Amino acid sequence: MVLEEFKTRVLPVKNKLYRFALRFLNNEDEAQDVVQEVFIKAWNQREDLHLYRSVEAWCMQVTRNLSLNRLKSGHYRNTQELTDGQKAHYDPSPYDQAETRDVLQTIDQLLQRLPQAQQQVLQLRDMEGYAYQEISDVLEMPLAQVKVNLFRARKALREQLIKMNAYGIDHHS
Amino acid sequence: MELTTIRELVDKYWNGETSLEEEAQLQRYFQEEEAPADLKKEAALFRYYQSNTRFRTLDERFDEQLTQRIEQKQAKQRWLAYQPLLRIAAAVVLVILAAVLFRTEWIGETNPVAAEDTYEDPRLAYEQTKEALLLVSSLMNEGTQHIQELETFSEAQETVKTQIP
Repeated sequence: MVLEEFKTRVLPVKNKLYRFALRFLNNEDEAQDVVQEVFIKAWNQREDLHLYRSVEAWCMQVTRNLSLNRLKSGHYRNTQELTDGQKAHYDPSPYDQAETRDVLQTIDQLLQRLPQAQQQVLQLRDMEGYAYQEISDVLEMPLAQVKVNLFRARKALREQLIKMNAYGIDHHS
Repeated sequence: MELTTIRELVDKYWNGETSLEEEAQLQRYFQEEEAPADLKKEAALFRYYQSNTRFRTLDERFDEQLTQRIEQKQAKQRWLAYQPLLRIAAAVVLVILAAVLFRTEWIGETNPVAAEDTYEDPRLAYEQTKEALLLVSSLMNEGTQHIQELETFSEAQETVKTQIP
């Protein structure tokens, strides 16, 4: 596989990988580094990539493994500190009005309070549009557990959103 | 799309029973339509999903950096590919050097130019050596004449020094 082919066939998944890495690391620079590493690994294995059922799923798996490795290494001595820093910079919708942005940021914070597995499943299903089997492959999680995690994540979000409604979400969106 | 259908889909969504296609229908609905009051929280959530995928992206600079890294790797690999050839070339040069040294130092094969020289005829050699030495000698004598001129200067200097205190 030459570089041009690599760019058209593999590189387009970059944003999915980036968002997935962000879910673990919560830091834009670190997530970007991880995605670079994933692509370098993919490039090194470019002659064998066709052996995988889905290159995208393979890339997502590598993203997950590399992100987890970073979390385990000394990089993240104080995860909470980084999380707080990231939250302050996160702007999910730069072109919207301030009220809408506030609501979206609040939802982002609600999501980040969910257990990691629930966040990951919700991200892959509701934001990236993955099938249950694909999620199961990427997260190396049994299919039934994927469904349970998704159900719990949505349920928790719904409860929180109902509470938010009481504070006036209706007026903002 | 019918609002009742949307409400049904929303219920299915919360129960984790929607298919990917149905979830895409909800996405489209909340993107295009103004949701009624009872669906505002779902509208906000789906809006969040959309904005998350729309604004959390990597720009062109990422592609450039990655391309640069891959090209550097390729250049290095090309150099490494030549390495066995370079090793063979170095080995060949060493073998040739070793062979030349072996011939001259151990076997003692003489220089063919030296073998054709005059030293096998002692008389001719004597004559030629004599000629050469005479030539050198005459050149040296020429040199001493100049030194004698210098001595004249030196004497004059001495005279000046002694006469003018």
